[in-house]
Amino acid sequence: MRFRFGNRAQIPLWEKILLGVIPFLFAALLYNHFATQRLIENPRDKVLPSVSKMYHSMSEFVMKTDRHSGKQQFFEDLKASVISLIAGISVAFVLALFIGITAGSYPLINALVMPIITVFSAIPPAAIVPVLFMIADPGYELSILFIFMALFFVLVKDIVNQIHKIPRNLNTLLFTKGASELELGRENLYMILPGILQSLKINLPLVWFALLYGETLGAQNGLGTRIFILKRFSANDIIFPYILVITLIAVTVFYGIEFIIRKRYAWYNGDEK
Amino acid sequence: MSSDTFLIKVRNLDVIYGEKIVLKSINLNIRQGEIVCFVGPSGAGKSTLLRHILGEEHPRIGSVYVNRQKVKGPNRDMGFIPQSYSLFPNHTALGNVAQGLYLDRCSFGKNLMYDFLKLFKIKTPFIKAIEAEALACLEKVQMQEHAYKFPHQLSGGQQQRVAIASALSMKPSVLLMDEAFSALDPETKMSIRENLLELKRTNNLTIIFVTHDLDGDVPALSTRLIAVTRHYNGGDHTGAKIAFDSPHPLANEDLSLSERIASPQTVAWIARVKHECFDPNYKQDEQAFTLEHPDALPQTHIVLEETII
Amino acid sequence: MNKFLISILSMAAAATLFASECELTLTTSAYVNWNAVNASKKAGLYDAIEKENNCRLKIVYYPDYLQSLNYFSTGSADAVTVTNLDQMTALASRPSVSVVLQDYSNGNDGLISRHGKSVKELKGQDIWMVTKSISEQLWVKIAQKEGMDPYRDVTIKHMDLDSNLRAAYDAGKINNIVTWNPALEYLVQQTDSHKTLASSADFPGLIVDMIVMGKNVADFDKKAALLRACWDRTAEVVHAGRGKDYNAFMTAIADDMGSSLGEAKTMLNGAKIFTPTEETDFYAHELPELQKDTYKLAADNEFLAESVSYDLNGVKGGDKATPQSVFFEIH
Repeated sequence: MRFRFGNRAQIPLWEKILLGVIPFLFAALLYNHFATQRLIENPRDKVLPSVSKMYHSMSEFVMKTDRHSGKQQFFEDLKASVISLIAGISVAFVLALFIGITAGSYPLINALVMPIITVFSAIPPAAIVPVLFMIADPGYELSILFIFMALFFVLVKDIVNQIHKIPRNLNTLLFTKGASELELGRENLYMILPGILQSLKINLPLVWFALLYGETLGAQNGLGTRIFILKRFSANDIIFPYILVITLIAVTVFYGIEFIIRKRYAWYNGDEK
Repeated sequence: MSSDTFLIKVRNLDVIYGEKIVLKSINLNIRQGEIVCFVGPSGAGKSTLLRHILGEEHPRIGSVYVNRQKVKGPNRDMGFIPQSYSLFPNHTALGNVAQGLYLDRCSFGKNLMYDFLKLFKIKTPFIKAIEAEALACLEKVQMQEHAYKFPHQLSGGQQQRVAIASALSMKPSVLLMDEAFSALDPETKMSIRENLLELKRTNNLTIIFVTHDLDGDVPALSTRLIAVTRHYNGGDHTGAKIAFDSPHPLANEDLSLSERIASPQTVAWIARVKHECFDPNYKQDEQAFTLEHPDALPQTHIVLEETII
Repeated sequence: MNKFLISILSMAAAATLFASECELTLTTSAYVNWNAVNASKKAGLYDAIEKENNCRLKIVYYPDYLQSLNYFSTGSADAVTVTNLDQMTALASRPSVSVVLQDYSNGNDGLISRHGKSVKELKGQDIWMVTKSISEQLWVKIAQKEGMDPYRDVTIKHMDLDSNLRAAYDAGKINNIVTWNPALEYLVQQTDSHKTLASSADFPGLIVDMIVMGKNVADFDKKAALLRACWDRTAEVVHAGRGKDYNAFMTAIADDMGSSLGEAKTMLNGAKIFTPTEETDFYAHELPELQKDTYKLAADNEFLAESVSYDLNGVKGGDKATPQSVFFEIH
């Protein structure tokens, strides 16, 4: 008998797709309903533009070149945001791995760094913008710093937590295999790497938020910068497609990480015999 | 006989967790080549004693010596097979065995380099040699065909076999097992015991294991049985002690496993042990053999002499 | 945020007391003459007017200007305090009518520089501002007056919030900014070496602050009359410059802006608040030309997300600004 419910339930692919599409359909219908209603009341309404209006505005916007630089604004924005994302995520991930692994593996370092990390992680970056201006220049630097701050502390705490959850037997085993204290950190790294990727995947929404906020602090190009400039005009016919682009990047990164975990770390989700 | 021939020595070991006294005045001598099993009621402190010998926990009172060295922590001279998490989930069976070889032979930097090479599946002669050696270790426990499977793809018995191969690849002087086979079915247990006995014969390995299996592991594998039981003084638990230390009646006979288990002498011994160990009201009768091992030490505080150490 | 909460709470409390059917929602933000509306309300200057007009004025205050504009655009508020430029650009999505001209900026917007001694010296440097706003409008005017190209001779850099502009300037990361009060006043007072190189005082009547109402608001005339009367009362008190009401008002506005009484006075002086005669004169003689000019500037420099049409059908030369007068209308 096949289980229809419960966390081991096997659902055929077509049912999965159908179930997945229903909420989107519902959201689209709801949007269309309210958009139409608003447009009847006020044909100039920009709060909920119609889909065709969004399509036309966006395709026009994508083709348009900036009158001063002569470049296509949309691609400049996309490029800037992607660079900030890659830089911010990689710096946060690599540094968090380094600090997290050492703090998780060596109690002395843990005692040194964890209190300050715990305190700093509680500070919302947006609340200390004047201080951040002193650390980084407005523009790319601040966007990257924001992404870094959003991600770094969460990851460090999670890495330390995951290392502490490694069964003690495995630590003992390592020493009986002749591992040094230094090797302990290295082996711990390999054991938790997929877990940290998983954690990164789950914490990605923090990154999108940080990217948008960071870009308001003086980035001249960027998806977030454009959204906030256009917000002045309530130009949702371009803002919504921009959000769609961000969503697409988000979904790609999300499934990209999932793909890496599945391919490279098959043992992590190891279920199948 | 000089006391220097003892491979493992435990002297006046007290283990106290907070207010709770777990072990009290443990004294123990174990020779090379012995297969010692720790038995006793659950929670008495068998595993604690084992983990102190292993060095996973450090005694505040008393000391443990292996190879005349004070034990400072788990090290490469000891093989360890726990009941659970005996393998690294991120390595294949082969990887688990090879892991120890790399750690033992390479510096941290070299290991990083080999990790990098392995990432791109580049095989240097050194990597090939290590893998061949690991495969040979797996062959000894009949696991060569599962070499490239991850632990989650192996059954419990297969996992413990790999754990044995992994521990023995290091050629340790002592093998410590903490209820390593409790969760396995009788047939698997039997074949793993055969494996161990074979390895013991060829390497003169010393094995210490904790078990509940008085009818299987003890009569089949052990040469010596140590019962750790709780000790009460007027209702207060004053820490577990070694209740008795008994040689296997057929310790020096060359018999098959099933013969050892089925022998009337073994059966009588086990029956006696069960009473002694688990029935405090039992009064010693006219059994034909002694429970006193020749190497047994008094389970009270003994004065340490330099010569003993 | 606290102020916002308090205003919301006091609204809720007043709502239970008044229980009048007519309620006008005005959304405002942090700017001295818009704080003036807030402060008048708090000082109780509007109590009698509200009773007389049998209509309650509800103020939704945002520290951030754009938030208040968006709040109005979505249709959540009946009226909003806005500049003449932003009515054409930011509010383009909701047909609106300006019902009160409050003042024109007379030094409340300006260009401040850390090192520069004159506007010409800024050639080749970065100038930071909230782009597509009155700041950019002002900069274009300043540059044109100095005979510079506003976009080629300097690099215009965008920062989203004026509070961040101020923070970045404070941190020493940016050197030239175009911003408005209270930030301007705050930065000038930091040190003597920071100079206001140019300000809206050089362009009287360029940046007009006003209260606009959505065209689709129910009871439009009644509510417009309420706004008219309320602002007239505030203007009257400010122009009187003394008395019990004035003192209560000044205390409230200083409190509202988080500044001292002296600073509040300076900032109030930074805007030329119209007397009723001046207001009538201004819309009759200067507004038509100003709006044409402003529209052209906005269109030339892509301030408008898309073109909007407008007309000045309400402007009838010489009329006294009656409560119902319509100055300027966005279609």
